[in-house]
Amino acid sequence: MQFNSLEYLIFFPIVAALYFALPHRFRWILLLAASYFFYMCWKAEYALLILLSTLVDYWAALRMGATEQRKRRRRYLVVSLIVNLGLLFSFKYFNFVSHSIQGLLGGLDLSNDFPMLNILLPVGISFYTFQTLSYTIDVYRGVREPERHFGIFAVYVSFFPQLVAGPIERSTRLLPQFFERHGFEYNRVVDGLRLMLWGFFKKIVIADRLAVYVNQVYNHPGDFSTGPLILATYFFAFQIYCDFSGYTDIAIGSARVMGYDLMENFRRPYFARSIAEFWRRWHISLSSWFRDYLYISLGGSRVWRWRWYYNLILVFTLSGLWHGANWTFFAWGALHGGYMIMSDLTRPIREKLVSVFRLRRRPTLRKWLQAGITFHLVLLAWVFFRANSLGDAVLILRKIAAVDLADLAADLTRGFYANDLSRGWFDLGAALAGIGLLLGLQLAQRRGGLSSFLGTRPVWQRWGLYYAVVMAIILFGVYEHAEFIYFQF
Amino acid sequence: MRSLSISSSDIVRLLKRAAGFAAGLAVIGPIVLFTLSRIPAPDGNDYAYRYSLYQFITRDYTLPGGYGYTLTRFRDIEEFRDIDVLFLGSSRCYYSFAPHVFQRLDLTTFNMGSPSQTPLNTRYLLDHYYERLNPKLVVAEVNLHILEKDGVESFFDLMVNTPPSWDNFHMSLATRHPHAITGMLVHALSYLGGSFDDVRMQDRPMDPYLGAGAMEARNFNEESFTETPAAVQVPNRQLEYLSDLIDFVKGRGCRMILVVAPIPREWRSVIVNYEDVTAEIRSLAAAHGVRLYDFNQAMTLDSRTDFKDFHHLNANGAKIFSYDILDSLLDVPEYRRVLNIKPALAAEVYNGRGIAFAQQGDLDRAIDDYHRALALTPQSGIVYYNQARACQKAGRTAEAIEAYRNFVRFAPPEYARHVEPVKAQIEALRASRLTDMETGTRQQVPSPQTALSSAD
Repeated sequence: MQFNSLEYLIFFPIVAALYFALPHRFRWILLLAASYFFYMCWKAEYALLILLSTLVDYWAALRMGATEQRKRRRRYLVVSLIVNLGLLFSFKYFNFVSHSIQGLLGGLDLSNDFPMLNILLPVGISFYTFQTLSYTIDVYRGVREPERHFGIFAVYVSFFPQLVAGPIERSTRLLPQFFERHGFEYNRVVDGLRLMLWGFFKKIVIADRLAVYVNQVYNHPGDFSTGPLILATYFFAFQIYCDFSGYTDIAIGSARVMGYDLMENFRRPYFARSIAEFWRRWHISLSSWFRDYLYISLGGSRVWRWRWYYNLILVFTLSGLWHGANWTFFAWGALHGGYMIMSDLTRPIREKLVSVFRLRRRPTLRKWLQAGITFHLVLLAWVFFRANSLGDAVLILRKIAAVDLADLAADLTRGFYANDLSRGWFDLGAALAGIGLLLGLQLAQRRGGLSSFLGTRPVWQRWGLYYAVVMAIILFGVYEHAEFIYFQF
Repeated sequence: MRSLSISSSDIVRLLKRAAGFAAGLAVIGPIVLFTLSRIPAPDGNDYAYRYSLYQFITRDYTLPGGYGYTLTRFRDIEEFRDIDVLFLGSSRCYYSFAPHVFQRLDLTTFNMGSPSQTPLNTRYLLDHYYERLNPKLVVAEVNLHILEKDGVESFFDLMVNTPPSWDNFHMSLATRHPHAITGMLVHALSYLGGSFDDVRMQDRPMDPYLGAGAMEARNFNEESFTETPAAVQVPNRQLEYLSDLIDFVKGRGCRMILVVAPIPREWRSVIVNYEDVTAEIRSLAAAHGVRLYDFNQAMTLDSRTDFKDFHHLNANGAKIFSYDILDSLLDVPEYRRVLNIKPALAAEVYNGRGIAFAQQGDLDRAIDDYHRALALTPQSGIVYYNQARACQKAGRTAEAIEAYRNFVRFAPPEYARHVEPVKAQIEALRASRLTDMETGTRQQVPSPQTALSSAD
């Protein structure tokens, strides 16, 4: 089931109403049933994969809890790793690896009959396998006790607000919440609903309207000149942010209505002043997962310099590949890893530049310069992320590099054309207004969150805003082929 | 933990606010829509349909008049009552069924196809138009790529080009699309103080409207084919509407067939699950006692000369295909009876097509058609003559002699002057056959001059 569907608008109120109507001791049953129903609306068979992952990790954790012997504990951890990563590999990476090996051997003309699996990628598999892995690793490390209530553990793995696209929760944060009693608190419920509304707006109005242009240009990069290619790349940066953070807001909002507190996933990432900071603000639940369970295990930055660089590249390419079995994601991850290394290598030069231009005396200018540079580095990497193939990405960057100033503004609106009625400039204006609104709101949010801002306003202003947002969703929304981007990861 | 009483008062508070909000939206929403529909389109173009800011905002690109003469068709439809055959479907429908072919059987037809029309749209169109048309046979064109759609595109085309109606309103609700529903409101509001008759459209010379809902294309397919293999995914909703549609028609005692119209071989070969989907629709139809004819099974049409593009037949292809459809219909005695088809007319259709095949040099198919004609009217001297001629050309001498003899037997009075030369011809053929048998060679026999049809 999609969040941005009529089904969810019916499903969620029913589940929430039942949730509050039931006594606490039965609520986990409701959540479990609702979560599996939510998932099975898409493809019922694949719910078995979640069940398998749940069973194995429940059992492995219990066994680990039963012994103090490090060796035996490790054995059960390995079982959990093999099952979860095995699921992930078979469904997500098998064809990619098989195809890549075939490509390598193709030069030697050894074989042309490599096995390929003809299967659909199970939605959300990258998210829930990581979430349950964090649990078994935590149990192995002794951070938490194994969970004995199987039902509650199953809800933890499959909790519908964050099942298919995160935030990837930690057992230490989310699991205990299922034991807490959540009453119906007006302010919290309204706050959750507000967040959901804002998420719908970001997804349906901003992201999906930008997507029209981005898809047109990025699916036919050969047909477009520098101007549209640059514009589409900027648009994609905001599309993917609004798409994913919109999803996350609906997820966090849905959970909040029922009294659950999910972790923050985005903190205005495009205002980051360095790549490292960007990664503390973008998809926080995933980057912190890689930090806690991989990067630190590898020694992090407390190692010999070249080993540290190796760690960075490894972690970032893996997080790139986490998004999908494609060389474009590999390149995207590797580029971010490269940025991190470059930032360390160029530190002396940058210090020098700061003192030459006396930027220390102008902290605001310095801040904006840093944010601007960081944003454009991220933007460059998004080209690889969005392009349909590495070849396309190279073509796009080449065409952007071969910039012809006279040509820059020509044809800028063509990506919006649906047929011979050309209204590109109107759509362009609407898209830019959407981005402007987003950035304006985020700037305003520096002085306190949206909720606290709304809370101080008189009722008519608040309601006026709600009506405006609802009407904007109805009128400006795009309702065709609008899956969330992160569903495919 | 809060006590239950506080919680329940919170719930009441939320429900009250939500109800208030919904009530406010029910008032504010239409006011906003009405205002937007009254603000003219900002590009200053003079469209026939009142294009407003609303359409700009919702990215509604529906062309007034429609790409497929929707406006003309649904004005025309008011003139039709109690027809024989009703065609339903997408653009493939109004391009594929050539009305003049059906007219040869004295059948009145109406083509209710419209661009991207899905079963969902058709279902509500039938609610509006079926009773008046009261057809004897419904031919529903099935288009796999259209079945994939949600019906919104077609809804807008129909909404803009037909007067506002409750059936259109129901169709908008069925699409479950916010823009379809608000668009319907705006559309209805925009005719306050105006009239639907003001809407007009321009003709399209290369795709003329033929009347009775049909149109034809007068160009050849010059597109390049760039599609890559992919599966079509038909949502269950459209299949449910299709089955609902069949129930509707059958429930009114009308006969119905489903037709998969020809598509170019190139297209057929890139739909990887063509067979599976067609089989699924066939069994759905069979469950309702309705037959599905798939005209891509033995496709003989040429992707260039018989099509206007990679989706639609041109006038050439439509003519050939329509004869194929007639063929299939005439094969079934029930349809012949229901449509009250006169055997002589049907035979003449076959005879005419046989002549066309013979002229193209396709003698085997010409002879087949003459056989069909003779099965319907076994005493038609004219058809025997044409058959004889084709057999003679094809070197099927024995059959030619037999057919010439039948011509002599059944020659109509106005062709009496042909009888003597034909008798001579029979003798010559017999002689040549004998020589053939003796020497093993074949002699040239002078061939008769012209084919005969009752139109002569």
